[in-house]
Amino acid sequence: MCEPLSVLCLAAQDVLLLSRAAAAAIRDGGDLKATLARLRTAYDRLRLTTSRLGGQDIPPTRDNLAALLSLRLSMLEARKHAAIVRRWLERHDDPDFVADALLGVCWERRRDPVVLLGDDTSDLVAQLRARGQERIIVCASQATAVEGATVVVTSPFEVRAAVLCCSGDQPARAATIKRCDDAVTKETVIETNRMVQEALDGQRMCANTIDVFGAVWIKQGIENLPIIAAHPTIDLLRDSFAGLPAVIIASGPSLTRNIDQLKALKGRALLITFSHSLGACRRAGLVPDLVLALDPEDLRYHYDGTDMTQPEASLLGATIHPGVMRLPTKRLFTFAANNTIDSWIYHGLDVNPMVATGGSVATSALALAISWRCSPIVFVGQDLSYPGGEVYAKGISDDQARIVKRDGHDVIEGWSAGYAAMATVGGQGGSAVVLREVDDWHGTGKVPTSFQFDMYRRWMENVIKQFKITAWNCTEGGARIDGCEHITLEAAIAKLPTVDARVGERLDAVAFDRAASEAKMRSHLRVMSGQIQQAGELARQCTRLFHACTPAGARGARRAMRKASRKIQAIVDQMPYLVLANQAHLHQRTGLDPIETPDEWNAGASANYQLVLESVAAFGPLLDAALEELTPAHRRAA
Amino acid sequence: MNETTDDAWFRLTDECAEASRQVIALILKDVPPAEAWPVLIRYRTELEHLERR
Repeated sequence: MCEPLSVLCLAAQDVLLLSRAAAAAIRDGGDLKATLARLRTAYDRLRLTTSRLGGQDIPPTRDNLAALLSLRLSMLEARKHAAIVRRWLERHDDPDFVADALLGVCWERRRDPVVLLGDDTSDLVAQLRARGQERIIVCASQATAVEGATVVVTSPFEVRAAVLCCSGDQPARAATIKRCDDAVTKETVIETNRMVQEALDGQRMCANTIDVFGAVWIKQGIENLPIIAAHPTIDLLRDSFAGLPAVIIASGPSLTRNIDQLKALKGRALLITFSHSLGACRRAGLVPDLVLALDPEDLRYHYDGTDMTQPEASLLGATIHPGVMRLPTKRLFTFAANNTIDSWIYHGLDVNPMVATGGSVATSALALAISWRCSPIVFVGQDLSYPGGEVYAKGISDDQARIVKRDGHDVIEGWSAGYAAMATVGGQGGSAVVLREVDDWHGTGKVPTSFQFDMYRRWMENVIKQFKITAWNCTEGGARIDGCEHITLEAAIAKLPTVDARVGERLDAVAFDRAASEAKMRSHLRVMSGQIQQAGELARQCTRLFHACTPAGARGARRAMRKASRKIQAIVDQMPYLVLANQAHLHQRTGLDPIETPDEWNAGASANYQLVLESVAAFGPLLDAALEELTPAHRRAA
Repeated sequence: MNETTDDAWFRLTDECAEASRQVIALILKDVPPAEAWPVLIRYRTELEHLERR
């Protein structure tokens, strides 16, 4: 039998024997708790070995076939025993049994969260902790600390935030939810379940985005540091627009229908749009007040033909393409488009321009309008769907894009050359869209939407409900957004109070000390530059020692290696951007087991030093260039 | 859902069974029928025995 298969069979055999023992403990009155603890550990080992089976080349021999079939039988039998244990445990209310029933045997106790609802959770939390469960979210009537709980929150919406905040190894499974007292209604359980599922979807999407864009964000973020330091951040606008109506002009196809009416609102409301909608605004002769952009690809084609000194301000995410960051504008404000992920950028400036992004520019615009206390918030062009297969409004650079059928799949075709060029960053071009149907704006029919649009819509619905926002959906097409009043733009214009928006004046009133900001950024950059040089030296040292450690016997080298490893870990811990840039590579090595596969694990450690060295080579010169650009002499020359 | 999902109890067992099924399908094409046949018959017998229990 080949080696990986024999390791797997041994792990499966352990699981089977302990499953039998657990069922026997029930039948004969043995120590079920201890057996389940051992069974969970056996499953942890099985998880590691199973994940490696797919990549193995198993020779087609009779022995290997017999081993695989025996493995299947073991799993089927283990499942039968697990079902017996589960049924028995669920008939008992003692927290000791409840904890076992809740955690099961396959649960990833370190990674996946458990959510408990109710005020009477402390015993169960203690039992879960005793079984090695790490992430425990308690949702109670009051946010009073519960010993052993990771966090205590007070609403399903906050449970969602708590799941989203699980950093490091991201949860992959729907959390197990347990109602711990009778006051918790069935509706609350259902709502919490929905929120947890949304958070997990969001986490998954976020992880994929970091894998794709992590390195680009860091590179562009560093290149943008001098511009960021020279301009105010959006947190300075916190009180600028309170009480002002905000109109969020999105780029959906229905915008073509009513964009002409928006000119009537110029000066009466805060007109917020996105870079992608600029073409439609230009076509309609509408000058928006604020233009928002945050995606890291080269979006300059969105701005083609638009005089960006006309809108009152550009609001740009800190990791946007440096070319976009350097376009001429009347005023520029930057923000952390990736929320806490961008904290390394603003860390040294003592500012906190975080926006709850929700994953798209549309959700970010809503989050901004809410944080500014604008009211009402009016949506136009917010289709969040593909009515009639159309994707964008007329005038937008990609207005020829349409959903078409190719080989039985729905795909978007007709992108502009600008999109095609930028799609190479994220690899989005030409991929199939899985469509689903949702209620339409009129509430009488259905409209096709994508997973992403659907997720953004649900995010909007959640925040509108949670923050009790007065929101009007005046898209007059596309998907229905629950929590909004669905009225025509004409009706909205008639209803809106007559106010003098004076957006330019409000923006000019922002107090910003550029010299102080640049000085802070210079010292921030000096620290970053020193850290990256030190990390580089340590990575070189670790690589040398790593090779000196093999073959076994070089005890001195191994001791030195351990010392250097600790040092490099300590310095990398202070450089979150280094980890972010390499997330995709690091994911591939998650779950390597130093006991089962020491060679793979060792190779992984060595490869990590190489990643540090590559990052030093990529980002070190950029940090130096950013520092140079910020020196007073360079600024004077510019 | 009081209030436990099946994940906690069966997911990994099912994943492992599925992974082995895929590998079996892959190698079965190359194992000579004369060698594969007795092994498959024995598996079928044991499976029936397990299902009856």
